Amino acid sequence: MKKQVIIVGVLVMMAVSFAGAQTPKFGVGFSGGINIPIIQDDQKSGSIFEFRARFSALPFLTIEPKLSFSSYGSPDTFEDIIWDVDGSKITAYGVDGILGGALSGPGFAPFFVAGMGWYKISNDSYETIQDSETKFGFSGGMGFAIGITPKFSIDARAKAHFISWDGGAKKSLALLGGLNYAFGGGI
Amino acid sequence: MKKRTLTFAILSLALLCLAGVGCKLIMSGTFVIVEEVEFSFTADGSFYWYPVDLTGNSVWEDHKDNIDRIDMIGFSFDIQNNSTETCEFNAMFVAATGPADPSDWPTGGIPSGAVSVISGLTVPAGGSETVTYGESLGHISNLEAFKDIIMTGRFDYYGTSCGVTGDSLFVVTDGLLVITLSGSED
Repeated sequence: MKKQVIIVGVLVMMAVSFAGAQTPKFGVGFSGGINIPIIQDDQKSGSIFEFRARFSALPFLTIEPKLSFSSYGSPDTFEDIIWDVDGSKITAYGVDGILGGALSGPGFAPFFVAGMGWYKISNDSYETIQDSETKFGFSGGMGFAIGITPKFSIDARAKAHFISWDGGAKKSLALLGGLNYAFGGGI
Repeated sequence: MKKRTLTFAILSLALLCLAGVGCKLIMSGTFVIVEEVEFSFTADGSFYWYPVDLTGNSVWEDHKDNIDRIDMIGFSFDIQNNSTETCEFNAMFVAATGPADPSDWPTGGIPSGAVSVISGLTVPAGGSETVTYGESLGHISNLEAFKDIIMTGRFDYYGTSCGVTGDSLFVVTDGLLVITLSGSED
């Protein structure tokens, strides 16, 4: 947890340090929402929170280093078995690319998002007999941003996550709503 | 022309690989198997025994040829200690072959290669306990070796506790084996 906080801190500091640049191209963002497991009998929907720095690489491309925390719920029962174990927790870090007119000031801006990163999967109920595992994965989806002011925008995005898992994948759909802030005059 | 053909071949191969990987990723998932394990008899001689064959379990049948890994294994069962002393329950598993016939008692005793999976589960004299799936995880050892045994789909269970044939001093009932696996559809 400490490591993740440090990473977020560094990302924010990087963004802030560039805030005084003549052409503002940096910002930060935060999203929260639900994480819906796809074909995972042992998990139920849970929450997801995502922190990100934002770098405007090209007029149509924004790069977002990200850190996210999600936890699944757990089914109460499964075929009459009392399912008294927790849902899994996932800590992920990586980079997203935002393709489209997002983050570019006032107005409505739809975008596509694609990313990759590493996902650490753990489960408190299993920790005595099984270690957590970190796997590579990728994500893709779409969303839209609405510029409220030149600096503030809100956005909504739907992203499918694919975490590689010994030949297959652990999959989920994240529905996120968030707030973005651009340093300087706006991105 | 040759270069164009080579490029086309490489691109086609890449697309096929992507399609294959993509299909595999999309079709894969995590599934839970619940298999009844007949614990409900008392020890015969010095140990319990029961053969398990996952063939016939619909979830196993759907995925047995495309299992990527066993994610977790647990149990659910009830224990009744009718004796006047504290009893300890131990369970071992070993991969097996042949038909799973409960009447085909293993005359050779517990095989030396049997893997200890549950050990040190004690029940006080006259006591009873319901071991839930989550609680069973706290009693499981040798998980990776146990997973390898489960992957075979056909295995035998051995158990030890107080009591001998017919005395009902230590009874395990409503036994369920819970297997969480990752794989894809056939």
